[in-house]
Amino acid sequence: MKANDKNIDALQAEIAALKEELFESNSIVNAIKQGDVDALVVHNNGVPQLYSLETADYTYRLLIEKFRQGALSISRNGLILYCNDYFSQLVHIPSEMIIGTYLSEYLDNPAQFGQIIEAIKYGITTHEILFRYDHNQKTFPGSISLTDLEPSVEAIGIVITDLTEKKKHEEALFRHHQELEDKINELHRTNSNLKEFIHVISHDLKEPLRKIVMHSDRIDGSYLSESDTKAMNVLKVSALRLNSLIDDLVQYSSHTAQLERTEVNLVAIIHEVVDDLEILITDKKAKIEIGKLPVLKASKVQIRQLFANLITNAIKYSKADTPPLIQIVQDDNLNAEIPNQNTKFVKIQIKDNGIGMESSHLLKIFTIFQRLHAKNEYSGNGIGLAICKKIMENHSGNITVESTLNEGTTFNLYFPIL
Amino acid sequence: MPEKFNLHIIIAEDDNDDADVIFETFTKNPNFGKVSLVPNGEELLNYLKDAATETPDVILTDINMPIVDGIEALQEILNNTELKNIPCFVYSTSINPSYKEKCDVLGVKAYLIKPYSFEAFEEIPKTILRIIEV
Amino acid sequence: MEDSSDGSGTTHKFTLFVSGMSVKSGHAIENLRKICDTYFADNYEVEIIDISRDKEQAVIHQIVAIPTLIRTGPEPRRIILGDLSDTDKVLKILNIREI
Repeated sequence: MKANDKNIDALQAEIAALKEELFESNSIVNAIKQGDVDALVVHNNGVPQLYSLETADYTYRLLIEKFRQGALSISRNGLILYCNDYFSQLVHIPSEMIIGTYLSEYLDNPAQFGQIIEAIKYGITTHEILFRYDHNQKTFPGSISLTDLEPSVEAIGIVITDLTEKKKHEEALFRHHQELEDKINELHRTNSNLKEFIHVISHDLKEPLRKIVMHSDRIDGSYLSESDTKAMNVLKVSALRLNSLIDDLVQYSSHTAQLERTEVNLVAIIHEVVDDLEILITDKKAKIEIGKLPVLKASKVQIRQLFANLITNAIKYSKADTPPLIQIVQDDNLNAEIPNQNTKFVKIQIKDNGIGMESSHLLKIFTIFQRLHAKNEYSGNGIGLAICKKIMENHSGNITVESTLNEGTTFNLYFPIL
Repeated sequence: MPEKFNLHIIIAEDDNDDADVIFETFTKNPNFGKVSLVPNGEELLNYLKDAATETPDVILTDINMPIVDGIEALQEILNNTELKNIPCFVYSTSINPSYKEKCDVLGVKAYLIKPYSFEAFEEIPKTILRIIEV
Repeated sequence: MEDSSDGSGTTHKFTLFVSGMSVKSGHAIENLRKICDTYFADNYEVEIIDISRDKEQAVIHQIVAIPTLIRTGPEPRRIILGDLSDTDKVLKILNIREI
């Protein structure tokens, strides 16, 4: 009896397993019947093949039909088997009239078709090529990309991208580049001309000046009346002034942007300037503090001139009873300051404790020959700061000033980080 | 010794006023026994090539002169086998870097600046003497 | 047959067989994700095999049609064909009680 029971148990287990298998098989068959699947796997000599039902590849087809690239399927000898909407638009011909024609008919140089097909062998499958349409009247530049679909399908798949816009941009860029180069050359020429002009003029102007100074000096003042002596003096001083103005003008015009740029260590340059100004500094008991300053790509000559002018100014316009203290530091806190600028800047400040300026003067000081004080009080022609401004402009930077009357002035230098 | 203290200098200067001053300056200086004056580069070359005239010991020339300017004259002088050993000096109202370079290349002894006072003018012969003596 | 509720400790493992960009494949992937996130949150592993790229897998797993979902863990093994859009049916086959 026990054996029977065991048999029954085994049989029942078998039945249960079979039921499950059947259930599974049925559900598979039902799923297929009900169209829950969109592809079948069929074995062809042990190799599984995928048979897609109609809707399965809908997404692919939709992509090719709709995307903004031309798509073609051609036979090896170029016969067009299929073309998508976009290609039809590109060549302005309805699809029905394209299928069955040859791809070479749409190339500006039909011979290139053979070359393109050849190139596939060597792994070169993308080319820039000129397409022709509208009874050969118009052309457009395109990128053609080939995919050999063999052995699966005896055809070549082609994707064509319209490069018209890209080419337009390239041409515009090239044109602008040319224009820019031309302008730069013109500028160079103008600059050289100007330099030469200024040099010649200054030479010719200085000649008679020199003689005025020399010969007026020679006049023996002991025989002159007081008013005559005074007049002679005025003549001499004026001639000297004129001479110095010409020197300044030559200097101003000589600071062009073309000078060589090297790595300039600001701290070192300023020390050199301080050495040059030793006499003035000792005379006025001035103190110059130099903070940590960066190395910049700039014209050494011009930077030296820049700091020489600023430091001289600071010392010149100091308070009578207070020894000048000049601090040259880098300001790290830049972000909010300059609106609408994409480049990053280095900001360097030259602060002094001198007589300061009224706010109404602040804009004028960088104007050439603009002087704020009576001629007798402070020496100089008023060109120093105009030169500073020009030097900063040469370096694509800027100079600004802040000041409080009777307290001091701060000059801000902005150098772009290149 | 006599040569050093009795020099013949030829000066090329087109400006009458400056010519007067420079002539006076060198004549006053005892080291210069003879001072010849020519108004431009062409006359300078003619004088130097003329067999009848004495070869000078020193040449001083302005740069900006008509017909043949100082630089052109110097080019001929310093490439002439007979003349190139005469010490040459140049003076001008201002320094033009490209002229200065040309002068250096040619072998001019010094490039001087025309001064603004008579006193300073007297330095010119002194400077020239100093340089020649070396 | 046991109820397998998503108690802690039992990771639910699935393998989904799809084919390229077939429409139902896309749906199956979406729906499987939704079901797993809702009912097996953080406690599931899903492997997706594209048999248009990997034909061998079709043979190994004896795939008949696409899409096919196989639950490989926990036991018992279950096979579901189709895009899994009928959540009720899917859960019933997987023997998960609807919460």
